[in-house]
Amino acid sequence: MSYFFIENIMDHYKNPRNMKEIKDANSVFGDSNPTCGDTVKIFLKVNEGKIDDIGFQGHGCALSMASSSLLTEMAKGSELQEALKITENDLMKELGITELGPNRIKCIALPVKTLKMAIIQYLSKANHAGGGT
Amino acid sequence: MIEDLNSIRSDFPIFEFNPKLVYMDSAATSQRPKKVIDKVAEVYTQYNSNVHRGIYSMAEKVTEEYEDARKEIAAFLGTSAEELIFTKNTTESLNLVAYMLLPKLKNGVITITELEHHSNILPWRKVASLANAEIKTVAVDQEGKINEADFEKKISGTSVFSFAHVSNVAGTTLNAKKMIRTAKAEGAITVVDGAQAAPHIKLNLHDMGADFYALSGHKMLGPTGIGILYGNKKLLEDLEPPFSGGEMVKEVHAEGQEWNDVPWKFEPGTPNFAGAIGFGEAVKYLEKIGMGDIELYEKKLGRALVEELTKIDGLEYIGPMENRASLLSFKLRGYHPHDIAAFLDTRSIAVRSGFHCAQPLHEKFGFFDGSARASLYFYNNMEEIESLARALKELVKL
Repeated sequence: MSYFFIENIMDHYKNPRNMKEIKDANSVFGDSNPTCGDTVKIFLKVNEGKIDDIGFQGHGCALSMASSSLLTEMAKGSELQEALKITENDLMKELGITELGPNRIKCIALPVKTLKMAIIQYLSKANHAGGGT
Repeated sequence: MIEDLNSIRSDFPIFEFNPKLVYMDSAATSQRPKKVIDKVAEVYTQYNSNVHRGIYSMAEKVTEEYEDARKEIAAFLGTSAEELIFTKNTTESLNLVAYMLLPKLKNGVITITELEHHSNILPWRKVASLANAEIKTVAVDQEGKINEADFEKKISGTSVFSFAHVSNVAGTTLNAKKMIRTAKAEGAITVVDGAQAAPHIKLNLHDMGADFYALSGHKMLGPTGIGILYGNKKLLEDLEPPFSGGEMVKEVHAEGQEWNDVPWKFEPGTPNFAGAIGFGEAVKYLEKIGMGDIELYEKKLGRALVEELTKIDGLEYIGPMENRASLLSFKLRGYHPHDIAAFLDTRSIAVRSGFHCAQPLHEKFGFFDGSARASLYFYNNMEEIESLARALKELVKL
């Protein structure tokens, strides 16, 4: 079935969750898909190794925006190490998509990659600042 | 006239295999008639051997077929066979000519237009950086037509002028002959990107006067991986081959060598001979239908496409209203181009979405998410345009 008729996707697309800027975020990372112009920016508020709050801003097709929205729901409240493990397949399962061609998987991969980079950026900053404490 | 469209469609196995398919992505790649597919299979099953090498009868046969294809394509384009270099596609042709012209570009000026797709921008940027040359870009107006005053201004002092004959996004058809005349009067070498023109327009390259003309076989019923670079014979003889190897050389000694004659000196290594022979068959098929008829019929399709689609609320498109190729790049308020294409796919309508390898042009017209593009060929019909319009209206109501 085309993603166009999957209610969960259209719901997330039309009513995105956590679509917000977090002013006091401790990691912000943005990336884009050069082939289609999709952009996603992720804001993380991390506290004691856990994602206390997460927000995203972006621009793109229904698939990329719905998966960004859902991803923030999945990541919110979880340990950083757990959030790092979220894959495109996990997102597809949650969205209710059984298969996606190589050209469209990029739409889902963008938020997944962006979240990972935001977490890695946070971790490397924390390492530098705290000297490992 | 193209009267019996049903019989034409039945020449294309893809429509038999996908009876519901409304294929509107021919600017990306066309479909192929059975004759072309069979011809490629014939090469591999009946006389597969390398060209220009063996002296046994099968090797003679394949060489003859390969060179006959070149002659067939030359007649189709209005050139002589020795002026046609077989390449992989338009992109390779443009890269090849850019590197051929590199020695002539030292501190020179390369002029292109805002209509170019990436393949007619990036090779020039590469050679420009090597030759310390400057790139000038001729502006287009709001309808995607060449700004004549800007052209007159920028063409002066140009060493190489390279432009798209037909834009793959705006659908604008340029007056190639006139522009080439102006450019040549300024002493420029002219290069034409004919990828979107050669499949749809009756060409006579000698009459047009272009020094170089690039095109792809796969956009005009031929196999993938085969293209052409036409070059004026005198220039081809003078220019050095940027790439070398077997086949392109006459004599190689411990010291020194003598390049082969044109066009072979620009075809190093084993060429895509099956593709070339298949391309020859494609051109025969186009000749049989008649390029003049194809042009007339597609004008009607192009006009109907604009008329039907502009009735849809919130639809905006790039390019001129009149005199356009049978393609339309558009956006629909509130819908990302990928979503338009994905929805149309549920109605078995295949359109492209994205930047179509022409991001600067999209940005110029404020299409920052790209566009959806319906591009038609002579095997499309009016009913399919109506189906497209119906599906888009359905999407808007969703």
